[in-house]
Amino acid sequence: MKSSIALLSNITIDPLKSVLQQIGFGKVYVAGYNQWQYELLSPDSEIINNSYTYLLLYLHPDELANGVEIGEITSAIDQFLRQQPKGIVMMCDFSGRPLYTTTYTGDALVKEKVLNASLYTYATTQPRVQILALSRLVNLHGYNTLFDDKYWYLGRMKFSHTAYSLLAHEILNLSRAIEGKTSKVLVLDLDNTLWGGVLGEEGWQHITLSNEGKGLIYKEFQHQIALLKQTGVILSLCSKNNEAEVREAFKKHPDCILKWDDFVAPRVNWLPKDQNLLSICRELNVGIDSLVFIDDNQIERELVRTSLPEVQVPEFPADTTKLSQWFIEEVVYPCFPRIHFTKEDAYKTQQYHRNKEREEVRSQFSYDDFIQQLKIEVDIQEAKPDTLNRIAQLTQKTNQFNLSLKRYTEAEIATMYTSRDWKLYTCSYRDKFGDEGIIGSVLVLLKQDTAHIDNFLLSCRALGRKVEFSILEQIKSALKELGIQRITASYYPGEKNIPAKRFYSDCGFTTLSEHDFETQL
Amino acid sequence: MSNMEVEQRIIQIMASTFGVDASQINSTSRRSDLKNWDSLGQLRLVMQLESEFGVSFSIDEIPELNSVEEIKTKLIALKSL
Repeated sequence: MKSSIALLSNITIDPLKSVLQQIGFGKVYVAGYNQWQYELLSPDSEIINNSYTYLLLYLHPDELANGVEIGEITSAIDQFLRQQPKGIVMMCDFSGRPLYTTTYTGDALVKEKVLNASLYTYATTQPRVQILALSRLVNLHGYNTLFDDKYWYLGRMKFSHTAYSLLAHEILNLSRAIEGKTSKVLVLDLDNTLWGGVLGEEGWQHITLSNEGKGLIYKEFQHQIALLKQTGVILSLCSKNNEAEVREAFKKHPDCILKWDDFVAPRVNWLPKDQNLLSICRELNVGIDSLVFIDDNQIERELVRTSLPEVQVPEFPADTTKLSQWFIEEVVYPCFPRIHFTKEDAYKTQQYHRNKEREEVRSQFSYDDFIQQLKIEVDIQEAKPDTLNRIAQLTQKTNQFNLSLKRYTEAEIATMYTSRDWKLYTCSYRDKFGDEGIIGSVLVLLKQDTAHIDNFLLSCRALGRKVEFSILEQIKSALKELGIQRITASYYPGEKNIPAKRFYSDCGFTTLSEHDFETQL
Repeated sequence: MSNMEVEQRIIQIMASTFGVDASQINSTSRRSDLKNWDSLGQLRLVMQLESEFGVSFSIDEIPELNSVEEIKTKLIALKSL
């Protein structure tokens, strides 16, 4: 479903509406000129009477009344959040015109810095408020590009045509980060992408990759990719080369920051790249729409765009000195936007490697013996403040073992956590190959002596090991201790969760209807 | 770009700005013919025209752009300078 958004400001920002609708937003409400306080505070306002997925609040600091305190703004937001239980506030940080009549640094600049410091501190305390870093766009593109006073004098507008487009895309990227709609796998070409030159012709000693000149372009690009991997993005390779030569280059080249083991399901061969991308998806058990493909060769990009339109294929910069900047602006922000990381993210590549080892062991045993000898331990725990991000992430990213397909933002999970009606559980997994951290979650809504399993989630990395049965047994015991006598649960089918359809009935639940199940304790 | 092409481009921009079908606009269309062409619509239209044609209208010129014909004449004058 399309997200809706309400726009509040102390200047006119109406042209943002059509740009947002062009890039995929549904209903857009534009509050009247300078009506932001009325909208946030009045019980009669549109945004208090109707919920929107997002609320954008943009205040131009030069138009704020003199001596305005950040507290007036944040307390209005707080009051809104109390009156309207749904929606996330995107608050733009402050960027005024950097020209001052008084002194070079001007009182206005001091005021702006102080406002921003307080605003960022405030946002860390309020999970339903996210900062939209407009100052980042102003620094990147310049105040004179983003603002045009002509429209101020004609119609109380300050943004330029360019600014509306940049701001709309920033809103879109932030909304994707909040909803966890990020790609999962970055598939990279090698020659003239991760290094300069053609490995097969020049040999690893002569590829362009060093601390100097053009070699540094590729070294820094590799560094950016390594940082992205730390945030939980899986790296893979799709390159027309000889695998032995590529392994040697990764091993022996002193300036190669990325190593062979940083990649999962690498495809270094002479097959068409679309076939290789499909086979990467099969091995990693992810959808084709989770892939982002980077290749300097336009013909390869066109092949993939035509054959696999679900794969995101960014253009490659003609000027390679722009590689690192392009990568962050055009790949990281649009495809892999994040607001938080979880502990599990940093170890994701190792988890995939361990899964591969498990698969190899599996082929030597019968299925039950395989499970037996893994020496699996699963534990359920009640949610804690530092595991709430991971629970939201599981609701957003899990597609296969996701029984009700209900997805929640971090802010929603935080609200459920503080409510006495909800019990949120996390499930940790370890076996003889290692500790996988939190791989599942069960969200339970309590009502007197009945507990309703709102959703039951298990990461695809833990599928096929029968841990879901042990988790459910542990949940049942925990609920029994709370005095619960009856458990209800629901299953809703989607594109990918059909294999989990029989889960509740297999566990002895009575089937009440197509979607509803129950059991007595 | 010929004068005819300029006119067609103006009509397309007006159609997308005011959310109407391009067939409802022609070379004689005026501000009073289009419901969404209010004062805010005027600024949205001007902003879009400036961006697509790579020109900048002065603050005095903008209130005088009240028909397809007036916009076309002004654009052609600016582009030929």
